[in-house]
Amino acid sequence: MPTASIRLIRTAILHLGLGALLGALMLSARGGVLGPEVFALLPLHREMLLFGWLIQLALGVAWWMFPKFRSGPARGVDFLPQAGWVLLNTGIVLAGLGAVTSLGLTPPGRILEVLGIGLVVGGLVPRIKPFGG
Amino acid sequence: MTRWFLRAGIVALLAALLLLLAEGVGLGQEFPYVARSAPVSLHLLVMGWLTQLIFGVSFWMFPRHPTRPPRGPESLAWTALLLLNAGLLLRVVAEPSAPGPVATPALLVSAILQAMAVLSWSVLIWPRIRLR
Repeated sequence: MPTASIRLIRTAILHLGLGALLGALMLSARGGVLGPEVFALLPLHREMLLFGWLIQLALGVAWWMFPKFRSGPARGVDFLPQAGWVLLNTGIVLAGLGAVTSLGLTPPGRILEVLGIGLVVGGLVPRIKPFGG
Repeated sequence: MTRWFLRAGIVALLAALLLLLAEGVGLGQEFPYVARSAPVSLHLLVMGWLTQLIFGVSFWMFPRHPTRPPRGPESLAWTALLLLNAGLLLRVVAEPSAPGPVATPALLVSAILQAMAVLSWSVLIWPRIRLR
């Protein structure tokens, strides 16, 4: 498994853990243990589980498993997933914080998320081909 | 082990689709459970189907340990499987009728079970995310 995939997948697992913890806090509020103010965390919970967990994990596994190139770097330019990882996770933090505060961080967060995902996908598109082709 | 994750995931997918179908054809007017089941069907899809599928496939395909057992302790995988599905089942039963004397503590237990399931799988799979 390449280093970029290790980073993406491990970060995805951290998002799953934190996102599930936020979900457990909200479910506990429905269970009467915590107050209803915990539900303000719902947008952050969604952000972490959709972008941080599912999408990031899919990108990491795809970078690892998609068909490799026959010449040059086997998986293409390593800068793309590495930079994508930085942008995506910075975007998730900003968009998540923007959703639970009034700091106006959601728009820049979303832009970074899209750029991050776009970089990794841009590196994956040429690898959508037959194995060995 | 993977097969049990996939079987349970398919059951969760079917349950979510049935709930969405029931809601879609207007059964929510006759059955209050259906009308209040939107969070349940969403979590059956995301945790019960997608996440459980990932748990199962990653246990099968991620790089194996050079030492035995090659996929890590299977007891941790069983723990994750049982806790996740017990937590989801509890949520399916309790959430649409919450708050209530039974549903309220049941949701608390459901939250703990699902969080522990995620922790168990993370501990199991983390060392296998490595260079081959």
